[in-house]
Amino acid sequence: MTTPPPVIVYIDDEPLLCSVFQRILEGSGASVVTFTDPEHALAYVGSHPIAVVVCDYRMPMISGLDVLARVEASVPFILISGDIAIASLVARNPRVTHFLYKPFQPETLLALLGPYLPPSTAGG
Amino acid sequence: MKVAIGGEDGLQVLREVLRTLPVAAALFDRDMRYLAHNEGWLPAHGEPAGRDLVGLMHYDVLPIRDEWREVHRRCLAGGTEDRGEDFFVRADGQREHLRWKVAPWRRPDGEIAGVIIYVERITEQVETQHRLAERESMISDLFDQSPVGLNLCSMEGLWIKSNPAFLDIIGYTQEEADGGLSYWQLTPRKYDADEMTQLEHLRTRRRYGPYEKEFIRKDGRLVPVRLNGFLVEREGKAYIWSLIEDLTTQRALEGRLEEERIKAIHASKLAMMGQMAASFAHEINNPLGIIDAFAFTLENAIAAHDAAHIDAAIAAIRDATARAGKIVHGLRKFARARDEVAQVQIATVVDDAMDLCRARIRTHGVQLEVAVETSASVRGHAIELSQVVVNLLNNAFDAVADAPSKWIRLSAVDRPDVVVILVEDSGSGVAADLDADVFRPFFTTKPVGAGTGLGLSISRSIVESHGGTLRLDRSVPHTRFLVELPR
Repeated sequence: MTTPPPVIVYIDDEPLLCSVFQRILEGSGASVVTFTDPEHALAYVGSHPIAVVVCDYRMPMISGLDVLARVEASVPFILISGDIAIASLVARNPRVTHFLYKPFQPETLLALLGPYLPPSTAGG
Repeated sequence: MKVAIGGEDGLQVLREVLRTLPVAAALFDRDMRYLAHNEGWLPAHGEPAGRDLVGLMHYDVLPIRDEWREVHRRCLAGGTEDRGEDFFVRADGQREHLRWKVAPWRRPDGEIAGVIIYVERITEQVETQHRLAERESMISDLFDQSPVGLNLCSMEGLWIKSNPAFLDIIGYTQEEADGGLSYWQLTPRKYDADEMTQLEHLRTRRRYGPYEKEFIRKDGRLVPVRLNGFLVEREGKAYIWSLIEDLTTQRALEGRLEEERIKAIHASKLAMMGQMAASFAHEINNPLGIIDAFAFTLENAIAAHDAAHIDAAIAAIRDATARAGKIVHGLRKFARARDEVAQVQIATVVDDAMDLCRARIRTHGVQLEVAVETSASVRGHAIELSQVVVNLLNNAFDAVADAPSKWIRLSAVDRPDVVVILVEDSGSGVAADLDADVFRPFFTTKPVGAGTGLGLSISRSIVESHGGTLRLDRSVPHTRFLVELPR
């Protein structure tokens, strides 16, 4: 029995973005789980080996930074937001591995995720 | 039968004649020594009666000025003189007005033996006349110099008297105005009903006005005026006095002020939208991200002939485009300059405000409850009213940002005569001593750059221009702003 490959966790309250990135990332050979509810995502992250978390900043109930605070420090964290005003907030947080402005092109996210994708497809 | 009077009899007769004369009179010899005088003589010169002056010199008894002494000399030489109105300065300096006549009297042989002087004191009459003339000139000055137009007309509207200020307002000359011009010729027909109301006031209260209307000037231009007037009666006939103020300057000033007010409202709205820009960007960024990501997947799906995903992607792209379009449409609608006055549904006002605020409020755990329980409409500017609601929601959002429990309640309910819009939030509330301050221009408790401090002051101005009130309701422990608009 082998351990399942580490997964990419994608969190955004927008269901369509979740479903389309599930398809895009899976197309690159990664294992992906998406969540529209950050609480469900946190429950999952706490009990599974995680390659990287991709999370939207502006969501109902809790923000992307609230999610970050509750994720283990060793897990890489990519924060996404269209909100320019939070840039300084993010800059001061060493836990944010990458910050991505919305709207972004799928290629940009794929490039950032390169190190976490299976070697067979990386750079392809 | 011939009656001859002479000697003692003659003197007695003379005294009787003097006594019964209706005017003061005195008889003098050639040296102006009193031979006789009546009771009225001294009082006519402002002196008490009772003294007997016979044998005294006229000039010793009264301060007779040189001019009169000349008259006496001329009369002793045979002349007769009189004055209809003259004055006499009394010993105490007071001036008496007199009418007098001086004539010589002769002996039987024809020689001039002295003069007889008749005097009538007319001080009161002259003073009354002067007072009347003074009043007349005062009134005519007032009439001519008044900056307020004055006009007397008959009950039929025919003009009888117009002052220069009024002629200036209507642009006619005095001759034209006095030559049969009538009130009705200068009044646009649209005021017919109002005119009847004012005439009714004249009949019942004997006054009319203040009444604002327009006159048609000679050049055809309409001039806005305010009228006040009252009824007067002259020789049994009724007339109307009217006071006419030209409102042209006032109207222009009001127009400019209103223009400035509208500009301030618009500027404040744009500033508010600037502060909300981040949430608008977020609302548009999400659809853009969806469009781009689905387009990205289409390439592979087409190559793989994945018809199901192609359909799904096209549907998602169209849906996202529609979503972004709706936001842009809402923004464009809100950013428009002032809309026309119309009957505005309160529900629409709330909906339009929600369209803009939803993005901002649907973040970070703010519970928003909206309850519109009215179908009422008010007369006014829809966008301005939405602006008030957006402003209150924005403030509420800022207030709950750091609160432990975050909720905002927006409700609209009917009350007698008014419709009420309430915006409540769970924020820390407005400090007790800031009740009046929060409505002052440029007052803000938000950090620099986060607020213009104009929101509530502009909102209050908007609500008041709709005949309503905007206030802070202190009857609840949390923050509650209350907009009341007349239905």
